Amino acid sequence: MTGAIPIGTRLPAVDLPVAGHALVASYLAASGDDNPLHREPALARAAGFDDILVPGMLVMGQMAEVLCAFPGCAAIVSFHCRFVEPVVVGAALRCEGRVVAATADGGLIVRLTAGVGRRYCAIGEAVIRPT
Amino acid sequence: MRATPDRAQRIGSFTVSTDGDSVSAFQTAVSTGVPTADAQAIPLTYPISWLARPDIRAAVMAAVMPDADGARILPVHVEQQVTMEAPMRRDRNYRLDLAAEGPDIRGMVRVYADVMGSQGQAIGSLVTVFVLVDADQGSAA
Repeated sequence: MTGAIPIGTRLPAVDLPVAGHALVASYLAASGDDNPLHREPALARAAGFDDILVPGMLVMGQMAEVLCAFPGCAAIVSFHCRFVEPVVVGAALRCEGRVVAATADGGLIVRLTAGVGRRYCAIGEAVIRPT
Repeated sequence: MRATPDRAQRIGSFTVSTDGDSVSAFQTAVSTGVPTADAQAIPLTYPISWLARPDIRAAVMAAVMPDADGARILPVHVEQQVTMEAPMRRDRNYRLDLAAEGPDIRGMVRVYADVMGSQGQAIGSLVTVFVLVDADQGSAA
């Protein structure tokens, strides 16, 4: 137990906004990312995918927003994310998280995933300062 | 806490900003629709947009792929770490110190970015890991 937030607490699962072509285009414009794998369907298909890929940083950004919205989170101290599976545009991802440990200085470690069912595309670990 | 190990190759320092319109556009793009406590806060991952700035990207690519020679090299993002020591504010300038390691034999590159405030105080750091892929060959560059 750490403060008011017990270890093991689950964050409310959030169905992330579907990253369709419009959202991906919006993210690319906002981030400046010009990787053609996120822009050029022909290149993505040549690389073996059905369509363009969703930028991993869009998913990580959404996961960070889920964490920010968690009532027990006063601030994110750090967030480390691995992009373990490519995501093709249009995928419906769900973000889930759980408080797994406390840090020596009063922070909480939260494990986060984003994916379709148990097929994760992003796995992260964050340290938050609890409220 | 600086992210950059001594062994990394220094790339340079750049002035970057949290232009309000740019932050708002980024925030809209990553929004999940779930309200957050501080709507004015800079999204945690916003600094990644600095690495896409043409001059910064060119400096990174020149450091890690000096012999690319016009090849169409794609960085495939595989891992990202963001650490914040102090909150960033909108419409401020910051200093971004960049360094890089790699590519290793798997084509893996690590870019280290330390974010400093106007007085040189530590604000945060990024560690970005990507694999360089030759778009024309379909394999690690």
